[in-house]
Amino acid sequence: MTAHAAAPERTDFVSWVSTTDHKRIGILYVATAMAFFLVAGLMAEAIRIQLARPDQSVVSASLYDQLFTIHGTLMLLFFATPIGSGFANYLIPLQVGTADMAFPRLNMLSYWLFLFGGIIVLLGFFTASGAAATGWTAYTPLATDLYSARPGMDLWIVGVALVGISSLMAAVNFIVTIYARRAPGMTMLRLPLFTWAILITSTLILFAFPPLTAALAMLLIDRQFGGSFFNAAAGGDPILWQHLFWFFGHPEVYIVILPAFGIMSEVVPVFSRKPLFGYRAMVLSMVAIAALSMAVWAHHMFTTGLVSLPFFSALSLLIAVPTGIKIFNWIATMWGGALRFTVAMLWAIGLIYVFTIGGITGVMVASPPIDFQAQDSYFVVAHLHNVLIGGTVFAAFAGIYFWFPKMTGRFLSERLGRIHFWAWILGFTLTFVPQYQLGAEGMPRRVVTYSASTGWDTLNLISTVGAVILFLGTIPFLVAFVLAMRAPRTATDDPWEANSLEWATTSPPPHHNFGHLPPIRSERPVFDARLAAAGDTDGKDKGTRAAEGLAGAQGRAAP
Amino acid sequence: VTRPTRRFGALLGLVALTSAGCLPTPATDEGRATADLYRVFFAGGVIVAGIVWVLATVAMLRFRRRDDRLPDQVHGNQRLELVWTAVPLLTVLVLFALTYVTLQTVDATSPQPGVRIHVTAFRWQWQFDYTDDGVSIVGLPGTQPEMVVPVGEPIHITLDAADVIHAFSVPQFLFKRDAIPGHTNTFDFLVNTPGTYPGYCAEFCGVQHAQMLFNVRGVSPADYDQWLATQRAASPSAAASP
Repeated sequence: MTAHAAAPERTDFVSWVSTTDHKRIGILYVATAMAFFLVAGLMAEAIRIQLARPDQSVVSASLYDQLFTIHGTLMLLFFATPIGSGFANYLIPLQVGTADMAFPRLNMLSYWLFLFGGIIVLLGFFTASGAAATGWTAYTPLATDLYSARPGMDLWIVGVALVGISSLMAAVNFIVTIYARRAPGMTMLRLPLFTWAILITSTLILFAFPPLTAALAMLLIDRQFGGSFFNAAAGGDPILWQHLFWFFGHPEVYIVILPAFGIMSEVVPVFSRKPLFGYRAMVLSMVAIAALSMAVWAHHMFTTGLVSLPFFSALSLLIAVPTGIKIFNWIATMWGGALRFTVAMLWAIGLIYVFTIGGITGVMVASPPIDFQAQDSYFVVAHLHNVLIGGTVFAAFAGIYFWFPKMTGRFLSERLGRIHFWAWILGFTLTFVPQYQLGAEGMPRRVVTYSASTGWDTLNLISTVGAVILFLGTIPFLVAFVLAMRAPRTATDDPWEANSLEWATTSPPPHHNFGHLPPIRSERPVFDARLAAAGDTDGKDKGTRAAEGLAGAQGRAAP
Repeated sequence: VTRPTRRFGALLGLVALTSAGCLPTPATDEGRATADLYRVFFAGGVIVAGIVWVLATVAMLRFRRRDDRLPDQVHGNQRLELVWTAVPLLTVLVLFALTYVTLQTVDATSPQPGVRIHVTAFRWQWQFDYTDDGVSIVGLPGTQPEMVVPVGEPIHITLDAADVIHAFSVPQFLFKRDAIPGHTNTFDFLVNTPGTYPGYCAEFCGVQHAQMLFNVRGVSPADYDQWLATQRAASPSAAASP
């Protein structure tokens, strides 16, 4: 273990709220996103309890509408998007081998806009008429002042606009940092895949978020200043909102999944002891996904009868191809490897199993005739949770178990982590597989209750049991976190025998990140350094990409 | 993790997967076309999931780390990658072609529909206007209005909304279409089996969204004519059916 070189850092409250250190901002981002995740998760539990039995009124219809609206808003915009920014904040400067982000103070502002955006959205619950209750998609004219006069809706607009601006600022910061702050030797094609994922995601954010900001401004004008962008009676068009919203909203789906793919491409090679299979194909497939994602927004609007069905169907189906490449390349990375089933790896492998199902049901709903049945039913609810939980959440957990030692110098309990993982696999399956069937049978989403005569009660009850298991399964994770924070710092620089530069410094890294950098002559500088050290003792070829020539060699890893 | 645990997990998932996603029996000709298409997608999905799950499972079982030896550092294989680019590409092209063909049936409108009905969705009920026959069914709060149609005849629907966006959805037709203020949507369906089919509003429209229920009842043409006559006799602006 390397000793901590830097002078002791301040750890008081003021030092945290005034920090411009990318590592602290990254930790604040991850912690805040996880807090919103837990709050939104509790809302989901309330939703599932309400739906457990037919004709129930555990929560009122009015509160129920607020709960699913804010659940979706928090999960998509205040958890799934910023958790990627959190990992990126912590990791990008480390992975490209520099001391901080290009614009540290802009970075700080991004975080605070995100935090207060979320708080502003939640403040809606404390107004007399309640929080926004339109669904997270805020379709007009329901979201206009004619039908949602409540201040909670305006708070929602302001909060979402703030997190949108925050994401834009973060995206600019990541792009500049990745292009301009790379260490000598860190060429574009030696960037770790996570860094590539953030570069592509950030570019997507630059295209996707401004239309959202514009749409929110138009909605605010309609609501507060007598505008009629979305009012058909005054010459406006309610469908315009859907185009603008989904022009943001579909790229958003990939904005939350590409960082997850990036985490996968870090975790799977490390615990397979092999390089990522098809590095260039993995980069290109992400570029292809990002490009296609800009031209598929109207597949959310097949049932409006106002969009070209063949065009948007064809492009949506095509996205399955680069996504499939990624899945197969991860399996090929594992193939012939030396797999270690750490908790981080379990989540990564779990993603391969679960996300694949979400991808397949995504192909199904990309076909308009099938979508005519699935749209706005529980089939779509199951599909979107299948990709968001099976993708973004699983990868976030993989990332947390993987980088926790780097961030804190401590380990999360592998034992509790396994309970966490298996409980989630069971809970996820029980919650969402029945929802596919409910949706196929036609149960609409966003309904507060259903009649016993529909025959949907058993599947709903199973789904609720699954949701409770997800809740209980999260407790071991929280316990593991508390236990880890009370434990001494035992993590070495590179406890997993990993590849990228963040493992070439102490755990946690000093304020300035690196005392010195290893030579960067491949996409795995830390692997190369470890192999070179081992090669010295074994008398093997010391070339930096020697590993390629050492088929099955005895390259022992340096501890 | 023990192997039995993992196998049990995989088995559970597989059972769950194959038992989910069965569509209701379609009651319209259009619905039958969609159900046929759905079966192809579903079968393809099971095959793809099977390939991915088997490959991942075999990798997990065969390539566990057993010693400190460094495995072959394979960086890629262009031929293999070409295979798993080309095969999915061909698959989605086929799926798109089938989709396109099915759309021609689902989206087709008859030049001579048997019945024309104008549907108006409003918060939180439905109105069905039989435009050629002078009959109107208006849903009253707390009721479930019924659209009666003859089986075996194309029904032409024009659909709009009075306030916010709603959606006309009949699960056993495997179909829904949005009702949008300021825009009239049109579609046809042909009910091929007599029966009562529950319908829902599928687009969230406010606090009583869950109560926006209706039925479509398919009856023989003779019964339909009788029903029309009864409705006309009852009132020029008939109230909700029970």
